[in-house]
Amino acid sequence: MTTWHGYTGKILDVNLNSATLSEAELDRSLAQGYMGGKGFGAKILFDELPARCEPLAADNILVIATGPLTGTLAPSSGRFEVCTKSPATGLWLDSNCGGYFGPELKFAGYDMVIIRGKAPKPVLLIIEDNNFELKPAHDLWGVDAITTHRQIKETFGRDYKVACIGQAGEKGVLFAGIISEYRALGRGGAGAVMGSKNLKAIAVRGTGSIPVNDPAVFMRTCREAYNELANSPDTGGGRQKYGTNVILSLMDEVGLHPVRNFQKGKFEGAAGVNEEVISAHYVRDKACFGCPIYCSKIAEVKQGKYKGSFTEGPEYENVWSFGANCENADVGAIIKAEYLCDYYGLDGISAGSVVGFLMECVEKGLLKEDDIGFPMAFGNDESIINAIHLIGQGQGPGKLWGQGVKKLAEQIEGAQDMAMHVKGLELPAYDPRGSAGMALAYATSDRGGCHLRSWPIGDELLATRDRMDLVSLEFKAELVKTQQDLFCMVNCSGMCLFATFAVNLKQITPLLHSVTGLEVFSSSDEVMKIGERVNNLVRRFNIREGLTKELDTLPQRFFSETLKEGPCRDRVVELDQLKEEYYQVRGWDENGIPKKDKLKELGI
Amino acid sequence: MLKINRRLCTECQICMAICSWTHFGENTTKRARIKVEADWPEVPTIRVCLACKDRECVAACPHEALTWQKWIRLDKNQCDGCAVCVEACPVNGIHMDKQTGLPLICDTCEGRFQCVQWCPTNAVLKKE
Repeated sequence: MTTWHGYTGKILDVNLNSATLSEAELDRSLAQGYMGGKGFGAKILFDELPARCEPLAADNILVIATGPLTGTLAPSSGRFEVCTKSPATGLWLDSNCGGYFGPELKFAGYDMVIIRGKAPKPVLLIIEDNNFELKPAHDLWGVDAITTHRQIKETFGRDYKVACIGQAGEKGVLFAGIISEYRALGRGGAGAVMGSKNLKAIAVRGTGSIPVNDPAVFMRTCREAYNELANSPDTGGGRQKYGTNVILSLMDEVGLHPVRNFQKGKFEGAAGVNEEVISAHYVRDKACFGCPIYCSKIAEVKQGKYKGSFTEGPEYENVWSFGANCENADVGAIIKAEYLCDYYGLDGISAGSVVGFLMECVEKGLLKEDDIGFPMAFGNDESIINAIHLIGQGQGPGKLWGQGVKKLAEQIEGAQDMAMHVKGLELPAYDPRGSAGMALAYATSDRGGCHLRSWPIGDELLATRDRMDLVSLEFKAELVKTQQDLFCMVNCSGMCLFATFAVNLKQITPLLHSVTGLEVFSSSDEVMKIGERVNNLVRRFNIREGLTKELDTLPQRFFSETLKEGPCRDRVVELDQLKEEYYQVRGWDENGIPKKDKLKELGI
Repeated sequence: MLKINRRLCTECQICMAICSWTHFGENTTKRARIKVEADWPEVPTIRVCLACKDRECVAACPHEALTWQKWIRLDKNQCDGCAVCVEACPVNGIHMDKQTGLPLICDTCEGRFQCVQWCPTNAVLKKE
C-alpha cells in the first residue's frame, strides 16, 4: 500500500450495467503524470472509451474527479471535474464545478468516481465513507434538480452533498447540466450523459481528512495565497462586491458584450442591466468550499412581474445570454431564467443562445410564431421564460430546441449562419470581433465555444501591467497556448480558476508540492507541463473522435458581418494566421495534429 | 469568546477547516468545534459554543468532566462520550468527534481565535 498525501489513493468504479461497485487503488504514475481532475478524466477516457462511441449510449463513461488540492485549506479549493464525451459536440467534454461535493467525496475517501454502463432503472448512488450502494430512484425521476437536492437531504441526512440531474438530463437535452449543491456543471451536456445512464443523483458524505505531506510549508503558502487574494482589486474587491458581473459595464463599454445574437455591438438597455442594478438584487454573499472570494450571491427579485424569484447568481454569462443576447433589459426575467436553468438542470449559456437564435429566426422570417406557439421576439422577456420551460420539459418544439443551435440550424433552411457555436457548443459573452485572443480561444477550445480554456481578454483588457492590444494578432498564439495549459493544470489541481486572478505559480506549485510530497510537483515547469500534456492528450482524443482543423473555426458571421455600432464596428475576425501560429507554438503540424516530437517530449 | 453574525456567513467553511487543522493537524471540516449548517438559499446557522453564563453543559455532565476556566475544558479521563452535554447545550454548540467519541467544544484556540482570524467576512468575531 502506498502512502498518499493530498490524494485519498482510492477510486470508486461503478458499472451500472451489472450494478457492480468496486474500489480500486489510485495509480501513482497517473497522479504524477496527470495530477487529478481533468487530467485523470483525459487519461481514462483516452485509454478506455471505445473510439467513436455514441455519447448517449451505455458505452460512454462519466469520470468524476477531484484534484490533490480539493478539500484542503488551500484557498478556493472546492472544485471537481466531470469528464465525458459530449453529446453536444461529439468531442471531449470536461465541466468544472465548485460547491461542496468535491471536498466531501475526498472526506469520504475517494479521489474519483468512474461511472460506466447504464442502469436498467433509475438509480441513486449513495457514498458514505467506505460504504457505497445503488438505490432505486424511481420516486426522484421526473423531479427537478432543486427538489431532488432537498429530498435526498431530507431522506438521508442534511449533510449529504449532492450532484444530480433535473428533467432536462432525463429527457436528453444536449445542453443539460449536472446540478451540484445548487451550482452547475453546465456546459456540453454532462447531464444528458448522466440521464442516459439512468443515474439520477450521487450523494456523498464522509468523515475523513486529507493528509498533508509538509504542514509547515503548506500553511505558510496558504497564508501567502490568502493574502494575495485579499489584496487583489479583483478577488479581494470587485468580485466580492459584484460577483462575476464585475466586468459587465467594462465589456459593454469596449463593445465586447454581444447583443441580439451577435448582430449588434451596443445594448441600449445596458444601463438597466449593469453590475450596480444587478447587485441591488443581492441578498447575501455565498462562497464555495474554502473560498475567500465569495463571488457567488443569492439574488432576489423584490418587485415587478418576477417578484419573489431568486437564484444563486445570476452569473455574468447568464446575465448576458438572457439579457443583452436576447436584448432583454428585465433583470427579474434574467434571475427567473437562471433559476429555471438550475431547476431543470440546463446550461444557461446554451439555453440563452438557443432563445437568441430562435428570436433571430423569427425576425428574419425563417420561423413563424405559429411554429413556436407564442411570441418570440428580441426584447420580450416572456419569450425567454416560455422557451426554457419547453426545453426543460422536452415538450413540443422544446424537444428540438434542446438539441442546441447547431443541430437546430440544420433543420431550418437559411439559419446556418445564425447558429452561434463552435464545434456544437454555444458561444459565451465575448464578441471575438473585438478581441483577437478570444477569437483564437474559441476556435481552439477543446470542448467547443468556451471562455474557460483560456481567457485572453484578461490580458487584453483587464491587466494593469503589460496590457496587450485587443485586436492585434501579435503574441496572441503564445498567450492562448500558455493560458490553456495553465487553466488546464488548475482544473487538474482542484483549485478555482478565479483564484488565479491573484494567485500564481509562486503559490500553486508549493501548494501542490507541500500537500502531495510528489517530487514532480516541486517545479513550476513540470507542473505546467502537466497542463500541456493533458491538453495534447485531449487533442488526440478529439482527433480520434473526428476533429479536423476545419472545425477549429468560428461562426461565419464573425468573418463576413461587421457590427454597425460600438467600438468594435467595421471589424471582422482574421483567424487563419492566428491558427497557423498557434499550431506552430503548440508543436502541432499544419493540420493541427500533435507532432511525434511533441508527444515524445510530453511522454504521451 | 465568540460572537456570531450569521448574515455575513458565506458558507465557505474555512472556520471549520482551520478549527480542525488547529486542534488535530488534520485537513478536514469534520472535526471542527464550529459548524456551519446550510439551509440554501436561506442564511446558514453557525453552531458553536457561545460561552453562555448558565454553563448548562457543565451542570448537566454526569461525570464532572467539564469545567469553566476562560473556556469550557474537557477532562478526557472523566468523559465517557455520553453526549449529555450535547443535549444540554442551549445553542447546539457542542458536536461529537466521530474519531474519538468525545465532545468538541470551542476553546477559542486557547485565545488565538483561529476561526476569527481566517473568516473572510467577519461572520465570526471575538466577543470582548
